[in-house]
Amino acid sequence: MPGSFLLALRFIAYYRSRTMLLVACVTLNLFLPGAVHLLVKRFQESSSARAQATPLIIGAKGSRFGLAIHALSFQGDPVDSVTMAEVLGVRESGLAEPIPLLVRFHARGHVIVGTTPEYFVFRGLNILRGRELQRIGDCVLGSKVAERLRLKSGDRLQTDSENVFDIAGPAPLNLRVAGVLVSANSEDDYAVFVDIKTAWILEGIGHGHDDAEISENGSTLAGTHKHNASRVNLNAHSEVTESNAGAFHFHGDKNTFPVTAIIALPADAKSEVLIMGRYLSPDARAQVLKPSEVLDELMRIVFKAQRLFDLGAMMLGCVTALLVALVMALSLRLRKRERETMFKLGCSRFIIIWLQALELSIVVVASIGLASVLIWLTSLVSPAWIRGWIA
Amino acid sequence: MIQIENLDFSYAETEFRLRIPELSIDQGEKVAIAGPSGIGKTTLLRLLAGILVANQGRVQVAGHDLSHLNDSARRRFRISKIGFVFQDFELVEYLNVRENILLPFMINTSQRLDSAKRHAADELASSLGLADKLNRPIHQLSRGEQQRVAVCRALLPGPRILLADEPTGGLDVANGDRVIEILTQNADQTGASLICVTHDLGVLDRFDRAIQFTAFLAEAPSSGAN
Repeated sequence: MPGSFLLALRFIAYYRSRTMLLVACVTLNLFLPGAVHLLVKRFQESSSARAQATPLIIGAKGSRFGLAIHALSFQGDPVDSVTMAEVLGVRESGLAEPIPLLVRFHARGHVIVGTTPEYFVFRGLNILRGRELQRIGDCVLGSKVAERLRLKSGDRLQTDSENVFDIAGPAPLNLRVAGVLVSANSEDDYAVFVDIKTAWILEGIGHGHDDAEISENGSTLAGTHKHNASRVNLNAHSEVTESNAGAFHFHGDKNTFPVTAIIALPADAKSEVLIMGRYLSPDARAQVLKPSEVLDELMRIVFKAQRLFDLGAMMLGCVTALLVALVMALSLRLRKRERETMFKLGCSRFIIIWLQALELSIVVVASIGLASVLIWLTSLVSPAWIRGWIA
Repeated sequence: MIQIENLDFSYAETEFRLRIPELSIDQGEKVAIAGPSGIGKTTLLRLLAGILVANQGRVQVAGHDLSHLNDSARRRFRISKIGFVFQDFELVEYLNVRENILLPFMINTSQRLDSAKRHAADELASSLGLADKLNRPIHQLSRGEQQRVAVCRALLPGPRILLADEPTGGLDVANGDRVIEILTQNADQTGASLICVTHDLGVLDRFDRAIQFTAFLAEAPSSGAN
């Protein structure tokens, strides 16, 4: 009956403040649990796929969740480092292929991931434009980073000062953008990848200057050397170029160089068990974890919190239902005269009830529509929210 | 057309009682009903419209014995035969003028709301001086204009019997006269019966007959025709 629909719409429009209040209440009750479920689902999907694809993570003892999130998402609180000796130990054992990660630095707000070429092969990351890392000082950008910073191969990207008050600390380095990665729809899209040696330069372990006096057994890129102590005005390089690349060098024993996590790719199931066994000892300097198990553990906690939220949302829903019922009851009382008029004009009691039900239905449908739009908008921004939440 | 015999009506849990031994009104007759407040004039109109049902006696209107009709049948009777101008207009505040006039067609499944009806509503409103106010909300209208909207709503379905409950109440003399003129003219043109409750003795001469309500119904000679 089109007339009754028009009547219901007119009533709703006339009492728009009341209608908006009702719609807001019902929308909130639909949106909040919906959005929470969506965010949890998205978080689970995004993190579990990556966790499943990562067999083992080795890192400093401490928070298992922190280490897993650090190695998988390059986010979360900073974690303690282990040394390259751990990487070499895993490699020498022949049980697994280690991929070191050093994640501590940022370039224009985007995380810098120091790693080896094996990482790109492991994650299946391909170059979209430009080329792969060729030397220290090069970087390869995740697709989102390139998009946000509007950088292309050949451009320069300066690293951030991690501590502006540490004037004696390592200076920011101008990275050369070697290439841009194909979007992987993962955390890799938001990272700036450099060779792990470049990350060590950012760490301050390596540097380059004009008059470095190389020792006989030193190597400019990987080995050690002695400085000419008589010269104090060293012209330190803030960018690696073709001409000065040879002047970059490292100090100390490579075995002591830091990595914040190691992705270990066991040769087989037996190797995986053996690797895990090595780190079960209380004397072990590091811990090993299976990301999928850690994520499952984390999700169990998240689901518990979600159930609590659902309970709260259910109570809120009951309160809203009572509020709506109260408003409708008051409205029925206030509109008694209007109903009597309609009855006198020949309107059946069924149509009168139908009109009231139609008004309530329009409010509910509008609320469902609004909540759906809000949930859709949430789904659009959910990756950023989840990233922010993890960070 | 309207025949009442031994009508006895009372509201539950009140002392009010309306008794009419006999009353008849012919088709096309214009009747004014006057009398003190609370005596049962409005109740009589509601009985004639089938909104209320007599406790005893017979109320026959346009061939229908309303005492023997069920709710649904009385409702259909009301839709098809009766136009009612209520005492205080009873317009719906959230509808505009046009929608208020068309309200009977919007709430009754048996009445079809089509473009012809919309056109008729606009023409009727124009004839009553509401042409430029069709889209206005009701609260923006004067009382006289609101009463004319109520009259339009009652007239639009083309009723056989037009009931008006103090249609000049709260209106100034000019507006009151105009409303009575509209109602009587319409009755003359359509041949409908008009039963109008009024306190305004000055308009009684516009009717064929005036009935003075007392404790028991007593018919008084009209000051006008008859």
